[in-house]
Amino acid sequence: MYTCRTAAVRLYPGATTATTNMDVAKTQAEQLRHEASIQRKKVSEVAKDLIDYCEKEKPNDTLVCGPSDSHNPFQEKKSCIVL
Amino acid sequence: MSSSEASSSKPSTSKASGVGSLPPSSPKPGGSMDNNATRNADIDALAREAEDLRRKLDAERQKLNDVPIQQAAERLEPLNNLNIKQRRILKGHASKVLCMDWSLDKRHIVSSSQDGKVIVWDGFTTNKEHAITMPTTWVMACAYAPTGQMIACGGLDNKCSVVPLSFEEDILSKKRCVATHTSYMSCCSFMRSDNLLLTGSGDSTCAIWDVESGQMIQNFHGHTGDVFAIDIPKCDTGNIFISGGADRHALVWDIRTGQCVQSFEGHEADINTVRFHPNGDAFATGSDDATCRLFDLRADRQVAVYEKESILFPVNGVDFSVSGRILFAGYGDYRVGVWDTLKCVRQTILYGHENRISCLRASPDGTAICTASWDCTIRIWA
Repeated sequence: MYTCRTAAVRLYPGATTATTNMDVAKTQAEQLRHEASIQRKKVSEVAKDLIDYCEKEKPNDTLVCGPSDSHNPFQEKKSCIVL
Repeated sequence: MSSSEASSSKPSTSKASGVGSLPPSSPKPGGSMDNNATRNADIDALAREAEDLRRKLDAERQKLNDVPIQQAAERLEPLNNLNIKQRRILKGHASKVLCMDWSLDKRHIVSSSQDGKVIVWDGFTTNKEHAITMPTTWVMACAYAPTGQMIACGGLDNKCSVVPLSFEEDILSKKRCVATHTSYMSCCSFMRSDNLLLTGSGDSTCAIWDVESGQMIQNFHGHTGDVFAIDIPKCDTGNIFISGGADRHALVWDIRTGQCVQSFEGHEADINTVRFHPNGDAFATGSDDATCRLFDLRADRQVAVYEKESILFPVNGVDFSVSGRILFAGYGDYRVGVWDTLKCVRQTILYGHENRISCLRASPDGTAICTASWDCTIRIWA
Protein backbone atom coordinates (compact mmCIF):
# COMPACT_ATOMS: atom_id res chain seq x y z
CA MET A 1 0.00 0.00 0.00
CA TYR A 2 1.10 3.49 -0.70
CA THR A 3 0.04 5.42 2.37
CA CYS A 4 1.89 5.65 5.61
CA ARG A 5 1.00 3.15 8.22
CA THR A 6 1.13 3.08 11.96
CA ALA A 7 2.15 0.22 14.16
CA ALA A 8 -0.71 -1.61 15.79
CA VAL A 9 -0.24 -1.28 19.50
CA ARG A 10 -2.46 -3.55 21.50
CA LEU A 11 -1.37 -3.06 25.08
CA TYR A 12 -4.20 -2.05 27.33
CA PRO A 13 -3.76 0.39 30.24
CA GLY A 14 -2.32 -1.20 33.36
CA ALA A 15 -0.74 -4.09 31.50
CA THR A 16 2.77 -5.25 32.28
CA THR A 17 4.91 -7.02 29.73
CA ALA A 18 4.62 -10.26 31.66
CA THR A 19 0.83 -10.12 31.76
CA THR A 20 0.47 -9.38 28.09
CA ASN A 21 2.94 -12.10 27.06
CA MET A 22 0.79 -14.62 28.91
CA ASP A 23 -2.38 -13.22 27.36
CA VAL A 24 -0.90 -13.30 23.89
CA ALA A 25 0.32 -16.87 24.38
CA LYS A 26 -3.08 -17.99 25.63
CA THR A 27 -4.99 -16.25 22.85
CA GLN A 28 -2.77 -17.66 20.15
CA ALA A 29 -2.89 -21.19 21.52
CA GLU A 30 -6.67 -20.96 21.85
CA GLN A 31 -7.02 -19.61 18.33
CA LEU A 32 -4.91 -22.45 16.93
CA ARG A 33 -6.82 -25.07 18.92
CA HIS A 34 -10.03 -23.69 17.46
CA GLU A 35 -8.64 -23.69 13.91
CA ALA A 36 -7.26 -27.21 14.27
CA SER A 37 -10.68 -28.51 15.23
CA ILE A 38 -12.58 -27.50 12.11
CA GLN A 39 -13.64 -30.04 9.49
CA ARG A 40 -11.91 -29.74 6.15
CA LYS A 41 -12.81 -30.95 2.68
CA LYS A 42 -10.47 -32.19 -0.02
CA VAL A 43 -9.38 -29.78 -2.71
CA SER A 44 -10.79 -32.08 -5.41
CA GLU A 45 -14.20 -31.84 -3.76
CA VAL A 46 -14.24 -28.05 -3.41
CA ALA A 47 -12.82 -27.69 -6.93
CA LYS A 48 -15.73 -29.74 -8.25
CA ASP A 49 -18.19 -27.52 -6.36
CA LEU A 50 -16.57 -24.39 -7.80
CA ILE A 51 -16.66 -25.80 -11.32
CA ASP A 52 -20.28 -26.89 -10.97
CA TYR A 53 -21.27 -23.44 -9.71
CA CYS A 54 -19.47 -21.65 -12.54
CA GLU A 55 -21.03 -23.89 -15.17
CA LYS A 56 -24.49 -23.54 -13.69
CA GLU A 57 -24.34 -19.74 -13.56
CA LYS A 58 -22.58 -19.32 -16.90
CA PRO A 59 -25.74 -18.50 -18.89
CA ASN A 60 -26.37 -15.56 -16.54
CA ASP A 61 -22.83 -14.24 -16.85
CA THR A 62 -22.90 -11.51 -19.49
CA LEU A 63 -19.16 -10.90 -19.29
CA VAL A 64 -18.47 -14.54 -20.14
CA CYS A 65 -21.03 -15.25 -22.84
CA GLY A 66 -22.55 -11.94 -23.85
CA PRO A 67 -25.93 -10.50 -22.86
CA SER A 68 -28.83 -12.96 -23.10
CA ASP A 69 -31.20 -10.57 -24.86
CA SER A 70 -28.42 -8.75 -26.73
CA HIS A 71 -29.05 -5.79 -24.51
CA ASN A 72 -26.25 -4.64 -22.28
CA PRO A 73 -26.87 -0.99 -21.40
CA PHE A 74 -23.18 -0.27 -21.17
CA GLN A 75 -22.48 -1.67 -24.60
CA GLU A 76 -24.84 0.81 -26.13
CA LYS A 77 -23.62 4.26 -27.07
CA LYS A 78 -23.90 6.71 -24.21
CA SER A 79 -27.22 8.50 -24.46
CA CYS A 80 -30.34 9.15 -22.41
CA ILE A 81 -31.81 5.83 -21.40
CA VAL A 82 -35.58 5.68 -21.40
CA LEU A 83 -36.44 3.51 -18.41
CA MET B 1 8.14 -7.07 5.00
CA SER B 2 9.08 -7.40 1.34
CA SER B 3 8.28 -4.67 -1.12
CA SER B 4 8.59 -5.51 -4.76
CA GLU B 5 7.81 -2.10 -6.17
CA ALA B 6 10.44 0.58 -5.84
CA SER B 7 8.06 3.48 -6.33
CA SER B 8 5.79 2.71 -3.36
CA SER B 9 6.80 4.39 -0.16
CA LYS B 10 6.48 2.07 2.78
CA PRO B 11 7.55 3.63 6.03
CA SER B 12 5.43 1.12 7.86
CA THR B 13 6.46 -0.02 11.24
CA SER B 14 3.57 -2.35 11.77
CA LYS B 15 4.60 -5.64 13.31
CA ALA B 16 5.50 -7.98 10.49
CA SER B 17 5.75 -11.06 12.63
CA GLY B 18 2.31 -12.17 11.55
CA VAL B 19 -0.13 -14.40 13.34
CA GLY B 20 1.68 -16.94 15.42
CA SER B 21 4.93 -15.60 16.81
CA LEU B 22 5.20 -14.94 20.50
CA PRO B 23 7.08 -11.98 21.94
CA PRO B 24 10.00 -12.94 24.19
CA SER B 25 8.96 -13.23 27.79
CA SER B 26 10.95 -11.18 30.28
CA PRO B 27 10.87 -11.39 34.04
CA LYS B 28 9.51 -8.30 35.78
CA PRO B 29 12.17 -6.69 37.88
CA GLY B 30 11.34 -6.67 41.59
CA GLY B 31 8.65 -9.34 41.17
CA SER B 32 8.67 -12.68 42.93
CA MET B 33 11.05 -15.11 41.24
CA ASP B 34 8.74 -18.10 41.84
CA ASN B 35 5.80 -16.40 40.17
CA ASN B 36 7.92 -15.47 37.20
CA ALA B 37 9.37 -18.94 36.88
CA THR B 38 5.91 -20.50 36.88
CA ARG B 39 4.58 -17.95 34.46
CA ASN B 40 7.51 -18.43 32.09
CA ALA B 41 7.07 -22.19 32.25
CA ASP B 42 3.38 -21.76 31.39
CA ILE B 43 4.17 -19.46 28.51
CA ASP B 44 6.72 -21.96 27.19
CA ALA B 45 4.22 -24.78 27.43
CA LEU B 46 1.66 -22.73 25.51
CA ALA B 47 4.27 -21.85 22.92
CA ARG B 48 5.11 -25.53 22.44
CA GLU B 49 1.43 -26.36 22.10
CA ALA B 50 1.03 -23.58 19.55
CA GLU B 51 3.94 -24.95 17.53
CA ASP B 52 2.48 -28.47 17.60
CA LEU B 53 -0.91 -27.17 16.52
CA ARG B 54 0.63 -25.20 13.71
CA ARG B 55 2.47 -28.27 12.45
CA LYS B 56 -0.70 -30.34 12.73
CA LEU B 57 -2.68 -27.70 10.81
CA ASP B 58 -0.12 -27.60 8.02
CA ALA B 59 -0.09 -31.39 7.75
CA GLU B 60 -3.89 -31.59 7.67
CA ARG B 61 -4.14 -28.94 4.97
CA GLN B 62 -1.46 -30.66 2.90
CA LYS B 63 -3.18 -34.06 3.09
CA LEU B 64 -6.30 -32.68 1.47
CA ASN B 65 -4.48 -31.12 -1.46
CA ASP B 66 -5.16 -34.06 -3.77
CA VAL B 67 -6.08 -32.62 -7.17
CA PRO B 68 -5.17 -29.09 -8.23
CA ILE B 69 -8.10 -27.08 -9.51
CA GLN B 70 -6.54 -26.58 -12.97
CA GLN B 71 -6.53 -30.32 -13.45
CA ALA B 72 -10.15 -30.65 -12.39
CA ALA B 73 -10.99 -27.87 -14.87
CA GLU B 74 -9.23 -29.45 -17.86
CA ARG B 75 -12.44 -30.74 -19.38
CA LEU B 76 -13.98 -27.22 -19.49
CA GLU B 77 -13.99 -25.21 -22.67
CA PRO B 78 -11.60 -22.28 -22.54
CA LEU B 79 -12.99 -18.73 -22.40
CA ASN B 80 -12.20 -17.75 -25.94
CA ASN B 81 -14.90 -15.36 -26.98
CA LEU B 82 -14.59 -12.59 -24.44
CA ASN B 83 -15.62 -9.23 -25.82
CA ILE B 84 -14.82 -6.90 -22.97
CA LYS B 85 -13.88 -3.33 -23.88
CA GLN B 86 -13.80 0.07 -22.27
CA ARG B 87 -17.29 1.52 -22.65
CA ARG B 88 -17.36 4.61 -20.46
CA ILE B 89 -14.83 6.96 -18.98
CA LEU B 90 -15.87 9.11 -16.03
CA LYS B 91 -13.80 12.27 -15.93
CA GLY B 92 -14.10 14.91 -13.28
CA HIS B 93 -11.83 14.10 -10.38
CA ALA B 94 -8.82 16.38 -10.29
CA SER B 95 -6.75 13.98 -8.27
CA LYS B 96 -6.06 10.26 -7.78
CA VAL B 97 -9.24 8.22 -7.45
CA LEU B 98 -8.78 5.90 -4.50
CA CYS B 99 -12.02 3.96 -4.30
CA MET B 100 -15.36 3.39 -5.97
CA ASP B 101 -18.54 1.44 -5.31
CA TRP B 102 -21.60 0.51 -7.34
CA SER B 103 -25.16 1.24 -6.31
CA LEU B 104 -27.46 -1.78 -6.29
CA ASP B 105 -29.37 -0.06 -9.12
CA LYS B 106 -26.43 -1.15 -11.33
CA ARG B 107 -25.93 2.26 -12.83
CA HIS B 108 -24.86 4.75 -10.16
CA ILE B 109 -21.34 4.84 -8.86
CA VAL B 110 -19.74 6.68 -5.94
CA SER B 111 -16.04 7.49 -6.05
CA SER B 112 -13.61 9.17 -3.68
CA SER B 113 -10.27 10.79 -4.27
CA GLN B 114 -7.05 11.99 -2.77
CA ASP B 115 -8.06 15.64 -2.87
CA GLY B 116 -11.08 15.06 -0.63
CA LYS B 117 -13.79 14.98 -3.31
CA VAL B 118 -16.53 12.36 -3.34
CA ILE B 119 -18.61 12.19 -6.52
CA VAL B 120 -21.77 10.25 -7.36
CA TRP B 121 -22.09 9.43 -11.08
CA ASP B 122 -24.69 8.00 -13.41
CA GLY B 123 -22.67 5.29 -15.12
CA PHE B 124 -24.94 5.12 -18.17
CA THR B 125 -24.77 8.82 -19.05
CA THR B 126 -21.47 9.68 -17.27
CA ASN B 127 -23.20 12.66 -15.62
CA LYS B 128 -22.18 13.73 -12.15
CA GLU B 129 -25.17 13.82 -9.84
CA HIS B 130 -23.58 14.86 -6.56
CA ALA B 131 -20.20 16.22 -5.54
CA ILE B 132 -19.11 16.50 -1.92
CA THR B 133 -15.92 17.97 -0.57
CA MET B 134 -14.74 16.20 2.57
CA PRO B 135 -12.75 18.18 5.16
CA THR B 136 -9.68 15.94 4.92
CA THR B 137 -7.74 14.71 1.92
CA TRP B 138 -7.16 11.03 1.10
CA VAL B 139 -10.72 9.74 1.20
CA MET B 140 -9.53 6.17 0.97
CA ALA B 141 -12.84 4.37 1.00
CA CYS B 142 -16.40 4.93 -0.05
CA ALA B 143 -19.51 2.77 -0.20
CA TYR B 144 -23.06 2.98 -1.52
CA ALA B 145 -25.91 2.06 0.85
CA PRO B 146 -28.23 -0.77 -0.31
CA THR B 147 -31.21 1.57 -0.75
CA GLY B 148 -29.10 3.99 -2.78
CA GLN B 149 -30.12 6.84 -0.50
CA MET B 150 -26.85 7.28 1.33
CA ILE B 151 -23.15 6.95 0.86
CA ALA B 152 -20.35 6.35 3.37
CA CYS B 153 -16.81 7.65 3.07
CA GLY B 154 -13.69 8.34 5.07
CA GLY B 155 -9.98 7.78 5.26
CA LEU B 156 -7.15 9.74 6.82
CA ASP B 157 -9.58 11.44 9.15
CA ASN B 158 -9.81 8.06 10.99
CA LYS B 159 -13.55 8.21 10.53
CA CYS B 160 -16.30 6.84 8.37
CA SER B 161 -19.10 9.34 7.78
CA VAL B 162 -22.45 8.91 6.05
CA VAL B 163 -24.03 11.45 3.74
CA PRO B 164 -27.71 11.15 2.71
CA LEU B 165 -28.20 11.71 -1.00
CA SER B 166 -30.85 14.13 -2.08
CA PHE B 167 -31.26 16.84 -4.68
CA GLU B 168 -33.15 19.13 -2.33
CA GLU B 169 -30.50 20.56 -0.08
CA ASP B 170 -26.84 20.96 0.67
CA ILE B 171 -26.11 17.34 1.51
CA LEU B 172 -22.73 18.10 3.06
CA SER B 173 -24.51 19.74 5.97
CA LYS B 174 -26.23 16.42 6.69
CA LYS B 175 -22.98 14.49 6.90
CA ARG B 176 -22.68 12.46 10.12
CA CYS B 177 -19.71 10.67 11.59
CA VAL B 178 -20.53 7.03 12.37
CA ALA B 179 -17.27 5.17 12.86
CA THR B 180 -14.10 6.29 14.58
CA HIS B 181 -10.84 4.35 14.57
CA THR B 182 -7.48 5.16 16.09
CA SER B 183 -5.85 5.20 12.68
CA TYR B 184 -6.89 5.73 9.07
CA MET B 185 -9.95 3.95 7.73
CA SER B 186 -8.96 1.89 4.71
CA CYS B 187 -12.21 0.18 3.69
CA CYS B 188 -15.91 0.31 4.42
CA SER B 189 -19.05 -1.50 3.37
CA PHE B 190 -22.72 -1.47 4.29
CA MET B 191 -23.80 -4.78 5.71
CA ARG B 192 -27.27 -6.03 4.74
CA SER B 193 -28.99 -2.69 5.35
CA ASP B 194 -28.49 1.05 5.44
CA ASN B 195 -28.07 0.83 9.19
CA LEU B 196 -25.02 -1.42 9.58
CA LEU B 197 -21.57 -0.30 8.50
CA LEU B 198 -18.48 -2.51 8.46
CA THR B 199 -15.09 -0.78 8.52
CA GLY B 200 -11.44 -1.83 8.39
CA SER B 201 -8.60 0.35 9.60
CA GLY B 202 -4.88 0.99 9.78
CA ASP B 203 -5.25 0.38 13.51
CA SER B 204 -5.44 -3.34 12.59
CA THR B 205 -9.07 -3.79 13.64
CA CYS B 206 -12.42 -4.14 11.90
CA ALA B 207 -15.69 -3.04 13.41
CA ILE B 208 -19.42 -3.02 12.80
CA TRP B 209 -21.30 0.19 13.60
CA ASP B 210 -24.93 1.13 14.02
CA VAL B 211 -25.37 3.99 11.58
CA GLU B 212 -28.24 5.69 13.39
CA SER B 213 -26.58 5.88 16.81
CA GLY B 214 -22.93 5.77 15.81
CA GLN B 215 -22.36 2.99 18.35
CA MET B 216 -19.85 0.24 17.75
CA ILE B 217 -21.73 -3.06 17.79
CA GLN B 218 -18.81 -5.46 17.45
CA ASN B 219 -15.13 -5.19 16.90
CA PHE B 220 -12.64 -7.67 15.54
CA HIS B 221 -9.10 -7.97 16.82
CA GLY B 222 -6.61 -10.40 15.37
CA HIS B 223 -4.68 -8.83 12.54
CA THR B 224 -1.13 -7.89 13.49
CA GLY B 225 -0.92 -5.18 10.88
CA ASP B 226 -3.07 -2.63 9.07
CA VAL B 227 -6.30 -3.93 7.59
CA PHE B 228 -6.54 -2.97 3.93
CA ALA B 229 -9.62 -4.78 2.67
CA ILE B 230 -12.87 -6.38 3.76
CA ASP B 231 -15.66 -8.18 1.98
CA ILE B 232 -19.10 -9.58 2.76
CA PRO B 233 -20.58 -12.55 0.88
CA LYS B 234 -23.16 -11.61 -1.78
CA CYS B 235 -25.60 -14.15 -0.44
CA ASP B 236 -25.46 -12.66 2.99
CA THR B 237 -26.91 -15.30 5.30
CA GLY B 238 -23.75 -16.75 6.71
CA ASN B 239 -22.71 -14.38 9.50
CA ILE B 240 -19.13 -14.11 8.32
CA PHE B 241 -16.94 -11.59 6.58
CA ILE B 242 -13.31 -11.62 5.46
CA SER B 243 -10.45 -9.17 5.84
CA GLY B 244 -6.91 -8.90 4.55
CA GLY B 245 -3.98 -6.63 5.32
CA ALA B 246 -0.37 -5.85 5.91
CA ASP B 247 0.23 -8.98 7.97
CA ARG B 248 -0.28 -10.99 4.73
CA HIS B 249 -3.07 -12.99 6.33
CA ALA B 250 -6.69 -13.20 5.26
CA LEU B 251 -8.96 -13.73 8.23
CA VAL B 252 -12.54 -15.00 8.38
CA TRP B 253 -14.66 -13.49 11.17
CA ASP B 254 -17.83 -14.52 12.94
CA ILE B 255 -20.01 -11.40 13.07
CA ARG B 256 -21.87 -12.50 16.20
CA THR B 257 -18.93 -13.34 18.42
CA GLY B 258 -16.16 -11.16 17.04
CA GLN B 259 -13.93 -14.20 16.81
CA CYS B 260 -11.59 -15.09 13.99
CA VAL B 261 -12.82 -18.49 12.79
CA GLN B 262 -10.28 -19.21 10.05
CA SER B 263 -7.02 -17.73 8.91
CA PHE B 264 -5.23 -18.08 5.59
CA GLU B 265 -1.69 -17.37 4.63
CA GLY B 266 0.25 -17.75 1.43
CA HIS B 267 0.86 -14.26 0.15
CA GLU B 268 4.41 -12.97 0.42
CA ALA B 269 3.48 -9.34 0.86
CA ASP B 270 0.59 -7.10 1.91
CA ILE B 271 -2.88 -8.17 0.87
CA ASN B 272 -4.56 -5.15 -0.74
CA THR B 273 -7.91 -6.57 -1.74
CA VAL B 274 -10.24 -9.48 -0.88
CA ARG B 275 -13.42 -10.59 -2.64
CA PHE B 276 -15.80 -13.48 -2.11
CA HIS B 277 -16.46 -15.85 -4.97
CA PRO B 278 -20.18 -15.71 -5.86
CA ASN B 279 -20.65 -19.19 -4.39
CA GLY B 280 -19.78 -17.78 -0.96
CA ASP B 281 -17.40 -20.62 -0.08
CA ALA B 282 -14.22 -19.26 -1.59
CA PHE B 283 -12.56 -15.90 -1.90
CA ALA B 284 -9.81 -14.25 -3.93
CA THR B 285 -7.09 -11.95 -2.70
CA GLY B 286 -4.71 -9.56 -4.48
CA SER B 287 -1.37 -8.58 -3.07
CA ASP B 288 1.78 -6.49 -3.38
CA ASP B 289 3.52 -9.76 -4.29
CA ALA B 290 1.93 -9.39 -7.76
CA THR B 291 -0.23 -12.49 -7.38
CA CYS B 292 -3.89 -13.20 -6.80
CA ARG B 293 -4.85 -16.28 -4.88
CA LEU B 294 -8.03 -18.27 -4.43
CA PHE B 295 -8.73 -19.64 -0.95
CA ASP B 296 -11.54 -22.05 -0.15
CA LEU B 297 -13.24 -21.90 3.25
CA ARG B 298 -14.22 -25.57 3.34
CA ALA B 299 -10.81 -26.82 2.25
CA ASP B 300 -9.28 -24.30 4.65
CA ARG B 301 -6.40 -23.58 2.29
CA GLN B 302 -5.22 -21.85 -0.84
CA VAL B 303 -6.49 -23.66 -3.93
CA ALA B 304 -5.11 -21.55 -6.77
CA VAL B 305 -2.59 -18.85 -7.50
CA TYR B 306 -2.83 -16.46 -10.44
CA GLU B 307 0.66 -15.36 -11.34
CA LYS B 308 3.06 -14.95 -14.23
CA GLU B 309 6.77 -14.24 -14.19
CA SER B 310 6.13 -11.19 -16.33
CA ILE B 311 3.68 -9.69 -13.84
CA LEU B 312 5.64 -7.66 -11.33
CA PHE B 313 3.26 -5.02 -10.07
CA PRO B 314 0.97 -5.06 -7.04
CA VAL B 315 -2.65 -6.09 -7.36
CA ASN B 316 -4.88 -3.39 -5.91
CA GLY B 317 -8.36 -4.66 -6.76
CA VAL B 318 -10.00 -7.98 -7.62
CA ASP B 319 -13.55 -9.04 -8.39
CA PHE B 320 -15.37 -11.96 -9.98
CA SER B 321 -17.82 -12.11 -12.84
CA VAL B 322 -21.33 -13.27 -11.90
CA SER B 323 -20.61 -16.98 -12.32
CA GLY B 324 -17.17 -16.69 -10.79
CA ARG B 325 -15.54 -18.05 -13.91
CA ILE B 326 -13.62 -14.81 -14.53
CA LEU B 327 -11.40 -13.10 -11.98
CA PHE B 328 -10.58 -9.50 -12.85
CA ALA B 329 -7.45 -8.00 -11.28
CA GLY B 330 -6.34 -4.37 -11.37
CA TYR B 331 -2.59 -3.88 -11.24
CA GLY B 332 -0.11 -1.13 -10.44
CA ASP B 333 1.11 -1.32 -14.05
CA TYR B 334 -2.18 0.34 -15.13
CA ARG B 335 -3.67 -2.85 -16.63
CA VAL B 336 -6.57 -5.15 -15.80
CA GLY B 337 -5.79 -8.86 -15.99
CA VAL B 338 -8.71 -11.10 -16.95
CA TRP B 339 -8.09 -14.55 -15.46
CA ASP B 340 -9.88 -17.84 -15.99
CA THR B 341 -10.55 -18.63 -12.31
CA LEU B 342 -10.70 -22.38 -12.87
CA LYS B 343 -7.97 -22.97 -15.44
CA CYS B 344 -5.72 -20.41 -13.74
CA VAL B 345 -4.62 -18.79 -16.98
CA ARG B 346 -4.74 -15.15 -17.95
CA GLN B 347 -7.22 -14.89 -20.78
CA THR B 348 -6.66 -11.28 -21.78
CA ILE B 349 -5.53 -7.84 -20.63
CA LEU B 350 -7.57 -4.64 -20.61
CA TYR B 351 -5.62 -1.49 -21.43
CA GLY B 352 -6.70 2.09 -20.96
CA HIS B 353 -5.71 3.55 -17.63
CA GLU B 354 -2.69 5.84 -17.52
CA ASN B 355 -1.70 5.24 -13.95
CA ARG B 356 -2.05 2.54 -11.33
CA ILE B 357 -5.44 1.02 -10.72
CA SER B 358 -6.57 1.55 -7.13
CA CYS B 359 -9.94 -0.18 -7.06
CA LEU B 360 -11.95 -2.64 -9.17
CA ARG B 361 -15.58 -3.72 -8.72
CA ALA B 362 -18.04 -5.69 -10.79
CA SER B 363 -21.54 -4.24 -11.10
CA PRO B 364 -24.23 -5.90 -8.95
CA ASP B 365 -25.68 -7.87 -11.88
CA GLY B 366 -22.31 -8.52 -13.51
CA THR B 367 -22.97 -6.62 -16.71
CA ALA B 368 -19.85 -4.49 -16.30
CA ILE B 369 -16.76 -3.90 -14.23
CA CYS B 370 -15.58 -0.52 -13.05
CA THR B 371 -12.02 0.54 -12.30
CA ALA B 372 -10.71 3.59 -10.45
CA SER B 373 -7.20 4.88 -11.01
CA TRP B 374 -4.52 7.32 -9.99
CA ASP B 375 -4.94 8.79 -13.50
CA CYS B 376 -7.99 10.62 -12.04
CA THR B 377 -10.47 8.66 -14.15
CA ILE B 378 -12.98 5.90 -13.60
CA ARG B 379 -13.62 3.50 -16.44
CA ILE B 380 -16.43 1.07 -17.07
CA TRP B 381 -15.75 -2.06 -19.10
CA ALA B 382 -18.36 -4.39 -20.54
